[in-house]
Amino acid sequence: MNAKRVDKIATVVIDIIAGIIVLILASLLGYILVRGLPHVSWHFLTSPAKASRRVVALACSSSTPFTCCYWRC
Amino acid sequence: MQEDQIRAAMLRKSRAAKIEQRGRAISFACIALIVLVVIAIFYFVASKGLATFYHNGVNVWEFLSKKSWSPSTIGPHGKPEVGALPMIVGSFSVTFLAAVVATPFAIGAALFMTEIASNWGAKILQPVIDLLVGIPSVVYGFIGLSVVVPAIRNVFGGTGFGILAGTFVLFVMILPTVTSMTVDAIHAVPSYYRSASAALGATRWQTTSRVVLRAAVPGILTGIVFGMARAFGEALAVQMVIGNAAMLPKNLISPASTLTSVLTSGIGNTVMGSLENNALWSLALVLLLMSLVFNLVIRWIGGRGALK
Repeated sequence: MNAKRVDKIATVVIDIIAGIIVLILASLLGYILVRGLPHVSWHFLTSPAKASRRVVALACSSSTPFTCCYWRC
Repeated sequence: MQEDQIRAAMLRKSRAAKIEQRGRAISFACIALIVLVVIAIFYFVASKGLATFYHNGVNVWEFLSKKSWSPSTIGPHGKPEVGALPMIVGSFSVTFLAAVVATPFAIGAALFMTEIASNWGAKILQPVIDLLVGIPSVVYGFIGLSVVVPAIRNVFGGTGFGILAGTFVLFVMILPTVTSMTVDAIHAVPSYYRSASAALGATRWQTTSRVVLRAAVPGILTGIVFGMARAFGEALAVQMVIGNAAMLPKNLISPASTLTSVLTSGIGNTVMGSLENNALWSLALVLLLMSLVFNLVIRWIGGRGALK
């Protein structure tokens, strides 16, 4: 394999790596926006937190019991 | 009479000298405060962490090498089980695996930004890397929990929680750190190295791999160790995806735990001064000493200097 060929292959590999990194960020942001944006509303941002009993039970049984204090049990 | 006045005027401190003195005093006070805070942190963590060994009579070697961790219950031989090996192994394995995965990506991205597409490549990748730094770790953990863990569960089976999931999350978290330090290291390579190599008839890749990267090795290694230090200390994102089972991981997809994950999940549930609490402080001491080691390694690499 001659040097020019190796150069071409290396360039393509580096291009692919840069593309993957851009893709990672795009998918991170896209995932957050697609999953989160529909739920953001004026009501969601301004109304006080309300937790159903089921959610409180789940929060209390998770690995960090002191999060329980943040919920109004 | 007049001579005395001149003498007094000459000996009196000027306004500038007074300001200088005051500024110096403030600077020294700030430095002293920072040094004091660092010493206080070290003293506090060391006194708490060493209490496990002095006060509770746990053997240091057993603490570092035993495999079972349950400080709140008495083990079969009548002593609480405080073997930190699972956490130490977990921390080191996620750190090293994340560094191993991130390094080729970081070097590739840095080369793309500096050597291949230096004008527009940097314009695209620099904001991407800045954004990756800006995303809070809890968001990484949350995405890891809702995307990476199910994906690993589907592909490899098991619960999906484990070192592999932690590696993927940490890989994305340390990637920007390693990349930007690699970019700095490559920028620091004098451009006449490249010109000389090109004049000898080398292709771009030959120049990059044999001259530029070779000359940038100390800087790149420093970046990798910086990334590893960040990965080692990361608590929240890892805790969300690693499974938090304080046992020696059999493979990359079995639930494990790290020093930080055990600390964050345990420190709120223990009583100050008890063995459970002291054992957690001992883990914190191990963390602190390891970050000290990472710092020393960075200094050592930096002191070695560039290509001679």
